[in-house]
Amino acid sequence: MFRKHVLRSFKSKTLMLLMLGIIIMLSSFVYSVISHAVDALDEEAIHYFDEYNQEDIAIEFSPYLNEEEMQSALNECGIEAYLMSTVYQEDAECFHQILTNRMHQLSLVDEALTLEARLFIDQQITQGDASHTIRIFKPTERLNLTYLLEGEMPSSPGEIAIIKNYADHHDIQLNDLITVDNEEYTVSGFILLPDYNLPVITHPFLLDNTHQTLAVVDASVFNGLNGVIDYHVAGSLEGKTAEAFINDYQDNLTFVQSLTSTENNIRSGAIYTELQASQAMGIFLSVIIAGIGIIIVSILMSRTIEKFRASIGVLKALGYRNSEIIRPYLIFIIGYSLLLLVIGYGLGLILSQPLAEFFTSFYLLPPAQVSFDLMTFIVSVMVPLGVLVSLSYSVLKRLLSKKAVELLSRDIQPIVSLKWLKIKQLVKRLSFLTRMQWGFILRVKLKAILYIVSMIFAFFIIFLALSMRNVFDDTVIGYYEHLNVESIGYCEETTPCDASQGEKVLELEASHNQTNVTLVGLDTNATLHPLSNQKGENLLPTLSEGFVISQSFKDLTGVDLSDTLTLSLFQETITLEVVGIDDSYPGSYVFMNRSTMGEVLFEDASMFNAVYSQTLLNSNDYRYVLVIDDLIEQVETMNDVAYQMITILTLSSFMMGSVIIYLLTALSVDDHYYAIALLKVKGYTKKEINKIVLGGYRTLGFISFVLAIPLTLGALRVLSLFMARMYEFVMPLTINISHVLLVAFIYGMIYYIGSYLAKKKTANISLQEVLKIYQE
Amino acid sequence: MIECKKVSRWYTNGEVKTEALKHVDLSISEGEFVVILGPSGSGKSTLLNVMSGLDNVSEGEIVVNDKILTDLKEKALTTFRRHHLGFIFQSYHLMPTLTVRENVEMGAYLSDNPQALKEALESVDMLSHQDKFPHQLSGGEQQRVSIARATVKNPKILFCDEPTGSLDESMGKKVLEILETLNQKKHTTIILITHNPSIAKMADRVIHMHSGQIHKVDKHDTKQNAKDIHWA
Repeated sequence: MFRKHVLRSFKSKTLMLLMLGIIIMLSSFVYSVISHAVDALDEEAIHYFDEYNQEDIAIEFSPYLNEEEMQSALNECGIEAYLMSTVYQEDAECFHQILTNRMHQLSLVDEALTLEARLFIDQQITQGDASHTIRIFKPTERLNLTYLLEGEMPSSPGEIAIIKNYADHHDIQLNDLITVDNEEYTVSGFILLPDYNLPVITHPFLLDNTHQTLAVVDASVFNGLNGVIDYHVAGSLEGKTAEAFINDYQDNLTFVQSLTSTENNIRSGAIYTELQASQAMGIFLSVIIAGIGIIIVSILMSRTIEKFRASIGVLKALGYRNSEIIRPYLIFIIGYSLLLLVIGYGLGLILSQPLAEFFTSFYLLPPAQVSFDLMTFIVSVMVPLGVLVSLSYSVLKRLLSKKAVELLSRDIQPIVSLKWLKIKQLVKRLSFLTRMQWGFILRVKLKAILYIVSMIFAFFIIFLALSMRNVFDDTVIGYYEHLNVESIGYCEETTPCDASQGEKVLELEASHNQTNVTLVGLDTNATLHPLSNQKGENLLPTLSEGFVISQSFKDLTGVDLSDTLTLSLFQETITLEVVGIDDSYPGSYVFMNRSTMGEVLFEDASMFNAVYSQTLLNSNDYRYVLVIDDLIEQVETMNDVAYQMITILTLSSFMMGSVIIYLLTALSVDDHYYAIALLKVKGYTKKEINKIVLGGYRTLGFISFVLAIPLTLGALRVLSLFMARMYEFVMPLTINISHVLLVAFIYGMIYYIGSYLAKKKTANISLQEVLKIYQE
Repeated sequence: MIECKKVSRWYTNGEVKTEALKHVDLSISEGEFVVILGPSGSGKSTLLNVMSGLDNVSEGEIVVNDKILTDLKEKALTTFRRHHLGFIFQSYHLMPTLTVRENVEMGAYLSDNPQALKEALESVDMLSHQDKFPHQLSGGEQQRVSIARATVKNPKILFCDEPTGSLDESMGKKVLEILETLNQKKHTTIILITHNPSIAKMADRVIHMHSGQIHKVDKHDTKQNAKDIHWA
């Protein structure tokens, strides 16, 4: 029957319990949904890459024959050529001989290395009136084995297996006919390729599955295909990491153009970055959101328990043992919290499946089946439960440590601090009501502090939600949007290109302490690529004095203004002082003076390899032309995946923050029933009562809001830096003036709704009853 | 049965020391009906609290049924209250979320040999209200439930802190009649606090308190019946 009492006592606080329940559930949900989706993908991806022998390293060989190879082609095959593709066209056997010889020479560098050529031909696939690029691969035998998703592998002429994501976009079914390079093929199966988690064919930033796809045909069919042969070499390392191999690689094999570890290769490694980013954004942020939720619930639950002090006092006086008193309260708290945490976990588990499917609809990965995960269960259910129960237990214990008489004498304190009343005489300029209001705030010091702390948490969580919404706009998209450029033309390596329609830029990949860096050489009078610091000062003129680094590079590496930075590229090093930090987050970007860069690397101050233009450059004049709008669209599509997670996090944290503000407001009114009733009885008007009692909370709310802004900015900065260092993922979390105004508006709305409803509840209670209850 | 030896109780608030009880010596025998009388702030509630183990003494010793209460730890004090004492408060302190019957059951739970619930409720004339919640009852009815809750476990000593303080004469008398019956029929020791001198007439002994000290003790050879009391 004591349980009945506890149950009914909590039942009388249904709305509050419901609200707390929402926060408890969301805390569990937010972690569960993200963790399950990411874990399932991670697990599935690792298993898939392992099973299908994903390459550890991609090696690009030069498309040109060196002198020795040219001689060999001429002597042994009777072919006079300087391009590998020409050799293939003339004599495939001879091509394979040269390629095999190259691979043999490279494999001698390190016995840990196993190599296999990855041959492909790019052709056009016709979809109605449109023509898309299709990269057709020759099936491999050792590395990057083809994963058959549905149907059968092509085994005869006229059969082809393509990527399902592309097929789904264009409503292509198994056994349908597709036209590739004017030839008809039957789709025998849907496949995945472990070295292509993104269909990067034409440009590193063109990643979508709608305008390009990958395919395999039978080896004998491949040998008969028309088109220019291309390839890269897949490498597998036994007992050594790709990074270690690349670092150790000293041999100067002229035909080796580049060595890229799988994880640093966008086509095969983007998923690693994505999973890492998901862990950073999703799991890490959800832990923070859930953590704040649980702390707030604990504080509010403690305040609720405090309200049972009189009941506990009676029980104590009657002779009930502490364990007998504490048990039903804890059973209720455990039962209620566990139920909601499990519901949150379950909802997260269910919704993580579509989230994981959303990932696999973009990345070319096998379907990931989400399943119960003990660790996720522990983190999302048992840990919050432990925190909640421990805190509730400590509050109950603290109450029970008091004497029964203390508990029975209601915690009625004078409406205003007597000390303050003395001080107020000194502050005669303030109106009586204002003096009373301040006295009221000072009187409830501990509650005021808790109120401020909880409110700051609530504001922080809403600010966090808002800052997450913009995070992608500030990264790559933001970077390209702030360029005054419509297109970028990248020059052929061997031929100079037309720079008449734009500005010359020298763009090369470099490294700094294992971190890949894009080194961009700009002219100090460039107009199309602005560089400016947080104060908006133009940094272009400073390029003549040293490096300007992007904010994301700073976050990732810790390199700061006035530091000396050394970049390595082409077995050269460039060491300069950092003279500016560009307020942009494109990734690891370092800018320097173009002429200095050309001079150091090529002994040619006029060197450039890209043209930034305000017009749409003709793709025939360049190796390829990057159209900024297309790029932004692509990046936005790619961000869609992460956006799903961010949306879940944003909505959850927004809801939690709002509920917290509502509960705190409602509780504040609830806490002061007696004062409100007394003032009413005395004849104070509603307006005056609001000013004295609730006006204080409005002031506290305002103080919390003002404090929350710098604290949030600081906390977000720390969070961004932590994620950059921990996960190598730069997420520029920050807030702006519109966020501040919006949060102020939200707070105002919730505060007025909360206080209105709470006051309405107070108005319905008989004043005499309230006074009687509290005076007893 | 109850012995207070040089009991003092003071409270400090910063530098201000308030003495609620000053060197009180008192002895109460088994089955005695004692009324502690005094104005507000005289220390009567504090005396009741320390005698019942609800509060600590600052100095002195309290012995109840040969047990030195002042030596007992909190847990042992709880057990002692559980087995030997009953409480009736001025403000009833019923559990608002439990029915009349359930409130009484709360008292019964604490005893190894409780009175039957029906009997306890009948004794206070509340059987017909057993399914009601406290807020559906008048003050007098609530106090009667509170008495039933205290007596259902057959306590040896019943501490009553202004049990009629919130009641009118008719309700007050009913409550006193119940206490009188308990004292006479079950020989329950009753220690009752009041500032109503009329009630004092039904006591075996009246302890007059003033400024934390026993000012005077009146012993009645003939007690007045509760129903004959003229309400002051």
